[in-house]
Amino acid sequence: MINSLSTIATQRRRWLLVTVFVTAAGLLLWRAFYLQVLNQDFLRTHGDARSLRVVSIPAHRGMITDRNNQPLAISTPVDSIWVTPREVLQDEGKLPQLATMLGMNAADLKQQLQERLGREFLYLKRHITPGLATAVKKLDMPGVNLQREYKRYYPAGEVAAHLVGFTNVDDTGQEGVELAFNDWLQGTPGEKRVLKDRYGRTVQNVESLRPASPGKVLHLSIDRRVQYLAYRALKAAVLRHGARGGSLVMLDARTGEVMAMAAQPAYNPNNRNGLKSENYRNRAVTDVFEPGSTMKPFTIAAALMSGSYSPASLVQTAPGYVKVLNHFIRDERNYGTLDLASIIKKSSNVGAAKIALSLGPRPLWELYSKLGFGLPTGSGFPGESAGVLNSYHNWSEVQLATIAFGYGISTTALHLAQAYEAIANDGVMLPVSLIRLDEPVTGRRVMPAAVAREVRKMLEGVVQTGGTGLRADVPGYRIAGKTGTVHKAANGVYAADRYQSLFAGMAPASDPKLVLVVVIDEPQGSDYYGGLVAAPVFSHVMQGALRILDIPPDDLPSFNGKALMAVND
Amino acid sequence: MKIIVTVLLAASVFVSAVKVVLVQHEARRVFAETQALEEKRDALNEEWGRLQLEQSTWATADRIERLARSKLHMVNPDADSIVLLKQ
Repeated sequence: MINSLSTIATQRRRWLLVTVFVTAAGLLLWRAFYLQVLNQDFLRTHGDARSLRVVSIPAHRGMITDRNNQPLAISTPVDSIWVTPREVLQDEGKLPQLATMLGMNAADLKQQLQERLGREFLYLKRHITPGLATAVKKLDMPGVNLQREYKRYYPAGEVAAHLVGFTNVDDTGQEGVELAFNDWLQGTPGEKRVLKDRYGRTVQNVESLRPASPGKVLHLSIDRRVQYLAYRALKAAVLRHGARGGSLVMLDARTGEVMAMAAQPAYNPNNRNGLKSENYRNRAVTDVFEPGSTMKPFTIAAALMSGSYSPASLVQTAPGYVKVLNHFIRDERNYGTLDLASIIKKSSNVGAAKIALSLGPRPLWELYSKLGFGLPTGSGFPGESAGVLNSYHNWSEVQLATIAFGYGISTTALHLAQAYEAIANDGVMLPVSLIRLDEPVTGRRVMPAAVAREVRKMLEGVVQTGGTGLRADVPGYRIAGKTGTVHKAANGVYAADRYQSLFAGMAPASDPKLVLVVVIDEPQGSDYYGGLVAAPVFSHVMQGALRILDIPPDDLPSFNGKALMAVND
Repeated sequence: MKIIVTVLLAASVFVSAVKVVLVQHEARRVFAETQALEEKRDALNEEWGRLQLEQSTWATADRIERLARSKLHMVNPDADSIVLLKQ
């Protein structure tokens, strides 16, 4: 009895156990079936989420070169260190070592990390050298990572700084061409999916989501050799005369391309620590000034275009001044009766004013506005100034007389160069271009070819005996140009002792290939005339540029007998 | 008839399933190869950039002028020593 009882009890217990186990196994099987078959996406998603990562493929910024493909800005890869503070602090044994490598104080670093404990991403140091990057990698600290970035180098340094500009630490253009053509230069980073392990190391590249497209190369129109020459000559002149600044623009007379563009004071784009942002300004494009006597050729051109004047026309400038309303316009001295060429050669304010008064405001204004004064050149340079040209309806008699010799109108060095380019290019004005042009451009006729040639001939007189711009002479070449010495306006009054010295000209005059404008701002000392301060810079830069660019001399008589006929066979 | 079609379909489903796996594998392999090649290309580009930088540093007008004047004792020819050849 006892036996059977125990048997029944045993059997019951066995059944109970079997039921429990079968149920448990069934539940487990069902769960497995549910997860693996019915709801398989859930686990797969979570698995992937723990191992698949989308990472970006860095794309480098396009190179900037000069017209001969010489580099002016190059991106080279560097590394930046970033950390996850929490992970670093968990195992801080190597922290002092890392701090020493980065030139930081270990305690400071630790505090810095503790303050940002909640952050997942913190840059420790950006743009470190490759050597340092390898050392940090070797340290193999958890939570310390390297990120590939690009740093911009400017091999030309200060020489082309204003034109090229620079980028910030995130590789975005901040100034100059870097800013103006940022979209063209900037690369688009790509994306790819990778498999990563627990430590964040990439195990396998899975697929490409979007290929990286690097930025495009930008060919500027400047010639690095000419640019260097221009930069050096301008800097030397600014130093010699203790001037506040200066700017210089050289254009190709046939295409409107900028061959050189310099400004002073300059800066080194590779090391901008502690620099005043004032120096970043490209004065050749952003600073406006009254062009003074350099406007006289256009007044003469307007006179010739009106038909009431011919090159032989005479203007009485005696007694060396003329009174317009209550305003005296004076010459350096009494030049007597002058023809148009002599008005330019001697730079007679009285002559220019009398011509303007006889023409009336409209013809003058029409030529000036056709030359684009008062409007930006359309170069696309960031911060370009437009200058000022008021409508002729508002010109008083005095304004008309003074505007004829370049007061009451303002412009930039770039724009003045463009206007002279019209004279150089037989009356056709071309758009200025900072970019190398591979196809010819169409210009706009602003004056008849005959007028442009006539004015050019008159401008040659300036650089000959008796002219104001003798020092602009280049041996072997005919030079056409005009000096300018402008009183600077301060608080509405013209300052007696603050000048701007200008020279604008072209060479070779028989068939101009280059146009050059030089502006020196506030030269100190007794030499302040454009013919003494700016003209020598013009001569120096033009001479070098003509040689570098292989432009043959056109002033054959100056070689007196030393010109040999080459035999062509 | 029906059975044959079913068997054929089942077989082709199986074949295509295997194919998908193979192609996927191949795609990953090729992608990894592309990546390796791209890395190599980038490394070469980097070196090219560095070399260009180095070359342009050595070839700055400033340095050439200094060397020409001091080491090679070169000077600008004066007007008297220039002879013009006309064609």
